[in-house]
Amino acid sequence: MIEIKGLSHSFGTKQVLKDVELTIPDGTIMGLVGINGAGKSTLLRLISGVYDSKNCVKYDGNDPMCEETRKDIFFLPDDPYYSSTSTPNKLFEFYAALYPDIDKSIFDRLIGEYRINPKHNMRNFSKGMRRQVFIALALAVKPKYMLLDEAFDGLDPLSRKIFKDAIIEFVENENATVIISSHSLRELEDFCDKFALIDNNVIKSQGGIAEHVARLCKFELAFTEEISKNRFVGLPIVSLDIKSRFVTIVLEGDAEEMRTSLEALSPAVMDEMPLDFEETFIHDIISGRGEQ
Amino acid sequence: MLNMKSYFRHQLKSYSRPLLVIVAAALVFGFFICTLGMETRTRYYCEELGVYLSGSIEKGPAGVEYYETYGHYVDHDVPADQDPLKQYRYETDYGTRYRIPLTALTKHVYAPILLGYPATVLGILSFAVPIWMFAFLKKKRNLDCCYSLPISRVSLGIAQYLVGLLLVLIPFCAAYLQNILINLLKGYFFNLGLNYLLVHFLFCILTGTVIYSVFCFAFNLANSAADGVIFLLVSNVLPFYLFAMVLELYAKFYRKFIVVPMLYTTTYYDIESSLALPWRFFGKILSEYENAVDCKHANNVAEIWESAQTYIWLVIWILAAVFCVFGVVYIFRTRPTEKTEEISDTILGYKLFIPVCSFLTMLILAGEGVILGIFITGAAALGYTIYRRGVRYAKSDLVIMLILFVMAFVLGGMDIWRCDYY
Repeated sequence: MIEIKGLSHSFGTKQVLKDVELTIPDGTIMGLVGINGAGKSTLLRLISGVYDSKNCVKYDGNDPMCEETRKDIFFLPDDPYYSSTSTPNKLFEFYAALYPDIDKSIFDRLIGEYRINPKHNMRNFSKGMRRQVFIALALAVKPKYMLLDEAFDGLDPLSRKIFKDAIIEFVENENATVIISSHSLRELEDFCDKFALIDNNVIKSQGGIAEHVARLCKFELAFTEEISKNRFVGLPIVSLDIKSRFVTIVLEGDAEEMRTSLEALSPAVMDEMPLDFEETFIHDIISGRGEQ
Repeated sequence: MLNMKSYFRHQLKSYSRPLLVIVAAALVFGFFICTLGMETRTRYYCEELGVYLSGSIEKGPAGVEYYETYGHYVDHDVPADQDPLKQYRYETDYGTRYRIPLTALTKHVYAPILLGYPATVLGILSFAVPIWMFAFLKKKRNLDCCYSLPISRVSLGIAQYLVGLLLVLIPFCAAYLQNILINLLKGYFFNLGLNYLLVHFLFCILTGTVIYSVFCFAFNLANSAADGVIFLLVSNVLPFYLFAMVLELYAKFYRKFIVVPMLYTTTYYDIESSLALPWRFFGKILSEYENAVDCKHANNVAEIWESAQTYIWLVIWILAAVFCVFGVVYIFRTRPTEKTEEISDTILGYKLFIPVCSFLTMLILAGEGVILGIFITGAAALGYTIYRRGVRYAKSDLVIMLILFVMAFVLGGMDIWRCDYY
């Protein structure tokens, strides 16, 4: 289990994270989301031991700054380091020197699925190909805790599917914990159990993705005549978009209750639209700015 | 610790090919130097005295060649009839001379390049390898991977240091052995014996390790690779500069020494401040052994170094190297990752040497004119611009520049500060 308590971090006078509290149980796939510059990568660096978390982060009670603890951690940053002469095989040897339990068969299988030649210089690979090599390494290491920053960046749809399937299988088999930050919220929604949203230096919301999405509902309505905002006063509105007689509204609450409330306004047509995690994220951010 | 060994072994393996390239380059270059450009020297060895003689070859009657040398090889109190070379001795108005037939001496031809070339390889590598070993740790992107690995930062730093040390010493060893072989094959002779060469070799290893350690520390003091190179270049001259400036100040204001101009000493008892320069110290070690080749019996190592200063500086440099190695460990243990690629605000960097060098130079040049003082202030401003990566100076920088500007007028413009050296 990863426990984060009272974690704050600044770069000089600029505060990046403030009093972050997060508990990530074993066997969880957690999505870390936020706008650009929210502090996702910084949080991952603090969790992985790249930055000193000053004892605010614990892995089963152990400090990630300790070499022993990091044996169970694999951090894949958004722009991983490799030397100019690296090939996938050489990179594997490098990681094998430090992670003795690394599994060559997993690495070879994934490299084969990605159709990468393990003897070619990585300098000549595309961004996506390099990402594939590091994903293969991450899964071959079989760490107890895997931290992935912008994991989907540069991957084509097929590679993403291979990657997601491999992560799910890995977590199920090893009871490992994966924290993955990405701007591809649609991808995260597919396979993350939980999420944490960073906004304004704090964890603004966290929990199960499905439950978080379910707390909002979205309706599209059509009226016989133009309608004003005042008609919707009293409803728990998250967002309201009126275009003449057509209304798109997102409400916070139970879908059935909201439907009943909207029917009272006598719309000519009313349809409930599916909401996805990305939309929920956008509404969370915008509403947060509205509160400020 | 286990991970440090694994990491070290892996790094050694991954650097093995570049190491082979360096060794090959050193050998190829050494081959051309030794076979095509080898300057030889001839020395004459006197068995009776057990020394190499200094003098000149002259032709005597009937075309016999003889060696004209001087009498300082024999104690001046020794009477002429007890002189081991009495049969060759004659007196002149200028003192005792010896005229020894060449047939009575042993001729040795040798090439001084044996000492110079491997030392050059050692010197160049001890400067370049710290950059090669540690530059990749001066980028934030690289640290994301490296510092999250299951190896402590100190272990990472030590492993890189040790790998670099091998990259410095192995090519040197190869070049050294090559030179000995070529000299032997060419019939050049040192009359040095294995014990001499072994001692010389070990001293080179020691000196190379010392200088490499100092340069590793200098490079790692910086937060960025560019600053690291500047610190490395400055470390070549800064210790000497500070030391020489302090001596100059003492000479200027207390006039107790015969004046010591900055770049050379005047008497044996003056402190050789130039030995604070890594290269000068390195060359001194080698020249002491060249002196041994010229004048001394190879087996008497204790007589090789006459200058006590060489021993003093050797101890100073060894202590400096030990300090530097601990310094590298300290840096890796304590420096926050967030500082990488930021301005290098270490106390032993720009913060120290810009004001100290500027103030010392201003004091040295007191009485020499305002223009020089303003020039020094300008140099300090340039230094701060490089430090801050622009003209957004800190308040402390501006205060120091202002003080220097005032000093330029107060010290530079008044004759009372002038010290008449000569």
